[in-house]
Amino acid sequence: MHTHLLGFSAILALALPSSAATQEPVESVPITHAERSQADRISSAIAEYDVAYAAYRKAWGAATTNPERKRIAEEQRPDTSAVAEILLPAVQLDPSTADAVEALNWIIKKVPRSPIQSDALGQLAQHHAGKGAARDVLKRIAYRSDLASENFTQAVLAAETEPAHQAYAHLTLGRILTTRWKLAGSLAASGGDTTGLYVAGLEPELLEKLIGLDAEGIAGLRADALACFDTIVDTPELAAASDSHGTFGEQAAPVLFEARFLSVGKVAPNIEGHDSSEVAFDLSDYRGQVVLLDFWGNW
Amino acid sequence: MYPHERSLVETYANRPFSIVGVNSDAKETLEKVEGDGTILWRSFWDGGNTGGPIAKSWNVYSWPTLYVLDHEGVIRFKDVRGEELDAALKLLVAEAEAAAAK
Repeated sequence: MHTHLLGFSAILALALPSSAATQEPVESVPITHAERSQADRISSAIAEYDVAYAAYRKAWGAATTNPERKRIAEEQRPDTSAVAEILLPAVQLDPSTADAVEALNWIIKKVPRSPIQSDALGQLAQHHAGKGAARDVLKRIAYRSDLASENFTQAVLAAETEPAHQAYAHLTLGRILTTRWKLAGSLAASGGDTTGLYVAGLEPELLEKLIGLDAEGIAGLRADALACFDTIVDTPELAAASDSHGTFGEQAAPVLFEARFLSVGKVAPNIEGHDSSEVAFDLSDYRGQVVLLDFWGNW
Repeated sequence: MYPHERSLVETYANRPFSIVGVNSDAKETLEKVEGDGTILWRSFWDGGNTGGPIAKSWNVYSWPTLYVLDHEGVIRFKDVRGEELDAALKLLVAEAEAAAAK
């Protein structure tokens, strides 16, 4: 099925030029993929992928040894980037449709972090940033650090008027900028070595900029990130808005609490609580002793 | 984690060191592991789930999360494990004993 899928995209890429070359004087061009309706092109590309993926999973499930599984993965796992190459031109026909949204979301979900994915984010931002439609995408990109994800979130912020959607976008932007700030710190510690750091899909120019940052620059990134959470806490209608995780004020406050009070060198805030026998005690009862404070669960 | 922590309790018995837990289990689970000797240290019971008030306000999203505080309550290390944790505690317990001897 893998080769079949590749064939499909190859036909798409070659159909127009080759038919134009061989049938130059003829007025009517034969029907190609490019002339099928947008909905048809998008749904058939995704359906074809689903079939290929199901076949791949079946083959993988039937394999009995690891080398066999590895070979099947290499040979049969369908290439999501090839599907994206079919979907993106179809989106271009009319980016405002629900089919276009489905296609763009598919790319953002399935294609590894890449320029193709950034392109899809950009188009979704341009045509569908408002109306709460972007929430699933925001959730997906919340811990990335690339410019395309930031720009998408900024576009949502500019387009949204509902406090809950706005607050969620501020929260997402704060998370993206936090990830970027921490990445910059890791890059400073490693001397710019990206080994073991998550930089897939990060724009080369941004990576270069992050590697060159001094302590002051990194502190600036931190301030930018925290400002997003401050905005939520300081704006009553954003702080009061809520989703299934509670009010956005409640969601933003712990990030600020950790950033301001829980860094190395600060006196730990007191904890007042009780043990499993309902006996009350305080963290500060242990002053004079070294304390290993262990947030744990028996799982 | 448990065997390492139990060994810390032994290593630093009668010295200025305590493990303080913030536990996110159902109360019956906590009572069971306290009762059967798995856990040798006191814990705040944080309401029975990972969204408890203490974990929430401390922005804890992964477990275990560790903070190491010195004898003055200052956060000195975050999320150190294994040999790093051992070295951190050795340093800080020595500091605490030196301060107490003054």
